[in-house]
Amino acid sequence: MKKKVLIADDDNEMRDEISGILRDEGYEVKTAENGLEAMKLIKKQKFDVLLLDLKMPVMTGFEVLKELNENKIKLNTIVLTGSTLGSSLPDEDISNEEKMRILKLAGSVMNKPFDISRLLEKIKRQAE
Amino acid sequence: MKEAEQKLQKLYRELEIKVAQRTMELLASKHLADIGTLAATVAHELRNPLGVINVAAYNLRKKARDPGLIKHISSIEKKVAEGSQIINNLLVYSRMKMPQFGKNDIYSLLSECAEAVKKHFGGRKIRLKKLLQPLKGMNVDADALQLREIFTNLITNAYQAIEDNRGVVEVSGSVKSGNGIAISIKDTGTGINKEDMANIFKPFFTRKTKGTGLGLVICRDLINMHNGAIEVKSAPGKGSTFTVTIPIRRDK
Repeated sequence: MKKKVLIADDDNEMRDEISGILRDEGYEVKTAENGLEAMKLIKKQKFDVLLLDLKMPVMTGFEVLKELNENKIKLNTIVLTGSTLGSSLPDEDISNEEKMRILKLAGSVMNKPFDISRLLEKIKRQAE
Repeated sequence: MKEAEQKLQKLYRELEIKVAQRTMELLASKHLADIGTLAATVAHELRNPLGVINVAAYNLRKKARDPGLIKHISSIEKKVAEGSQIINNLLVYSRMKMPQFGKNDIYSLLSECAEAVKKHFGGRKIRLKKLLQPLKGMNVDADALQLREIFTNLITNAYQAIEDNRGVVEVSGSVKSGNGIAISIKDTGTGINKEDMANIFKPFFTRKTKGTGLGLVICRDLINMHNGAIEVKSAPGKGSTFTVTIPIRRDK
């Protein structure tokens, strides 16, 4: 049985490029372009690992992490973000403390541009 | 009666100065906050495309058989890493905050900074000379982390300026008359030429292959926030001396 990975990122190319790598590595890959799409897929089928961007339209990665926690859905999540943790962007209505608290719900956080070999190791470990 | 009036006027003047000082501080912190927001936004907007370029290069590398092509891919990966490092430095610069003043044993702080940098450059035969005795027992009113940032930066620069494997870095301190101390960091390195001298405190100016051109800018800004000053003496081939003067007590 192939392990299943869901990629939630609003960047088309990022989704395509990571999907390519993961498919080559033998994973079954689904993608979502925002948090809401990701949640819909998660409620329909079981994934082994979620790769989650934070800043997405419609529903952010923070909101996804919160909803997973509130619905007691256990899903290994690796956050892949371009954001600087500890400083907020002007259009965000969430405090830094709140962000850090929510991020603890994720198994791991990696800053973009990330080391791909390390990401693959993490996915492999978490999918087991 | 006249005496009371004079006293009142003096108090009034003092109050005015205090208000002006506080206004300056607030303006400075507002300015810094804006830069912080801008930097965080730019960092986010740049890290995403860098992330994609990096993953795309990885995919290309897997498919590439031609060594010439692989060389180009390596260049892309190298530049992604460098770009990412520049963003990190920019964030350090933008997160600069107003100093949190406290008492600092300046002798120990400088010794520690110098030793830490020396350890970092352990593989090279560069002699570290510490002439800090005059500062022993002195407490300086300053932000401890920012002082460390300043001197670590300057001492690192001194080590990096020495291109041969041999050379001397000298960190010395002295007490100035009135309310100040001076700390000099001298190297026997390449020195700075006249044209470059005009640019060394400009953001993003650098002669290092891996520099970001923010180190000295950060130093100067932090020193300014401590009401201090930084001076440079240098000549090509003769090394450089950076001298920092800072007040011992904060002016009230």
